[in-house]
Amino acid sequence: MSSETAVDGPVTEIIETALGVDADAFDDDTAFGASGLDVDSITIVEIAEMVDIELGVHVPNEDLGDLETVGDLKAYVREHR
Amino acid sequence: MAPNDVVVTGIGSITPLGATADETWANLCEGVSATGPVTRFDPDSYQQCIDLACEIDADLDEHPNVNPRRMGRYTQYAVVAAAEALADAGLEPGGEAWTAERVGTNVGCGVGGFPEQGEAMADLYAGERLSPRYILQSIPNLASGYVSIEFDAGGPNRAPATACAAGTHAIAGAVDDVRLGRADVMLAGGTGGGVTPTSMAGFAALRALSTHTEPREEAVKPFDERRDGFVLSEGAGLLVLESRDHAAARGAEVIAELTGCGSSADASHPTKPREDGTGLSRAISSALEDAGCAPEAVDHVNAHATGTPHGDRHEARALANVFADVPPVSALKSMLGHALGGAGAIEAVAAVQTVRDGTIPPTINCQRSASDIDVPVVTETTETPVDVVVSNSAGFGGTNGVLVFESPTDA
Repeated sequence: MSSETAVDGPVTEIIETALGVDADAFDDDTAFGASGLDVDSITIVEIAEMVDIELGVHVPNEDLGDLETVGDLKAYVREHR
Repeated sequence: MAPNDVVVTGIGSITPLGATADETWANLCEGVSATGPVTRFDPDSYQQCIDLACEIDADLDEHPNVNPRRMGRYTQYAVVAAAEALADAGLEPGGEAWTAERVGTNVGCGVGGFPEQGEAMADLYAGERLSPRYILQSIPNLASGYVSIEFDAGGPNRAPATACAAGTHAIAGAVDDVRLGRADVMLAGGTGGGVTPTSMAGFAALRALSTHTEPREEAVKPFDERRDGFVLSEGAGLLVLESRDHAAARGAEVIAELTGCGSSADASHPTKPREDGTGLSRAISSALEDAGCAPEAVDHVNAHATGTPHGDRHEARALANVFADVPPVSALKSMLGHALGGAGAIEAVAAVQTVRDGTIPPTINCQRSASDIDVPVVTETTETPVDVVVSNSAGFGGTNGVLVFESPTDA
């Protein structure tokens, strides 16, 4: 498991890049779905690809759907890194 | 039930000569060449590439309908041109005159995301992974798809990929949709984003490109004795087509009527047109027949004329097959270069402007008469009433497409 600092910053940057938003537009409780970032199916796959390339953590489709918030993604990356 | 008459109520384009249809038109009528050095990549870094292209330098990232991360370059051009065409037509998506399922899109292109495909090939062959965006930035129907998405057009949706005739065929297909009542409004045109190393090297390998590098603005020489090929270009043209009744019901101004469409195949060779020009001339004749228009009524021909030795000769023969006296002919690729799947639609926009303004734009760089060309080439901008324009396109695969535009009637 990786430390919070080693993961959270890069994941935040990936989300910023993928969505074209600033980090202050979301926090760990922000949902990827319609109540939060409203990320579509292509973009969530793109975020997963970027996480795989940049952080070395592959998020399979069966797990991707369970990651409801930004914090869920960070925790998943910490756990599997 | 009689087919609906089809009218043009809006035009839009983005080309190397202008970010709007009227900016492009002003430069065409001034005889301005868009040909210049390549800035998108270093042509010296690639085999077969030369420092000659017509490029769009507008920054589209801030355009309200452009998402540069999601859209390939060819799609960006299409949505920009569509936004302009809709505004020109006074049509607002979601507005009072807008019934989404009665508005369709048909936007053709030659290849799709040429630059995106080239970059993906380089990445993949270098051992890198592709973005999930890659397919959606590069497949040929996404320009038509994104025009429908951006402007809430839920009617017929297609995208012909008939090479350099794609824009013309898209407009012709949209005419059918309006005539047959499948849609009240069609956003139709073509787009191309082909200024890339793979495109340039590929067309150079076919020996289709001009190698005339100085002065660059004289590189494209349609119908001239010295013609030696085309220059790659990019951009999009879009028309708003409506049934006459739909346009009248909302009080729209009719810019021109689109009265005839024709298409044919040479059925002989993938790149070389038939020597006798009969492939293209059958498309011209069928378009005129469709329009109920006699050849002698045509005031102007907006030629395909890319500036290749074979292609221009065969188009001249095709015109001679149809017209006892060939009307004045202009070759706008002398100024715009060749935007591949966007070319026919950009030229269709110019054909509408020709009818609208009574102005025939010139062919530049046609200075030496060619022994194998016998058509009256317009070399100076000419102010004259124009009631009927024929706009020709032809593409690899031996495909031909022709449109007939006429000045508005009160019918």
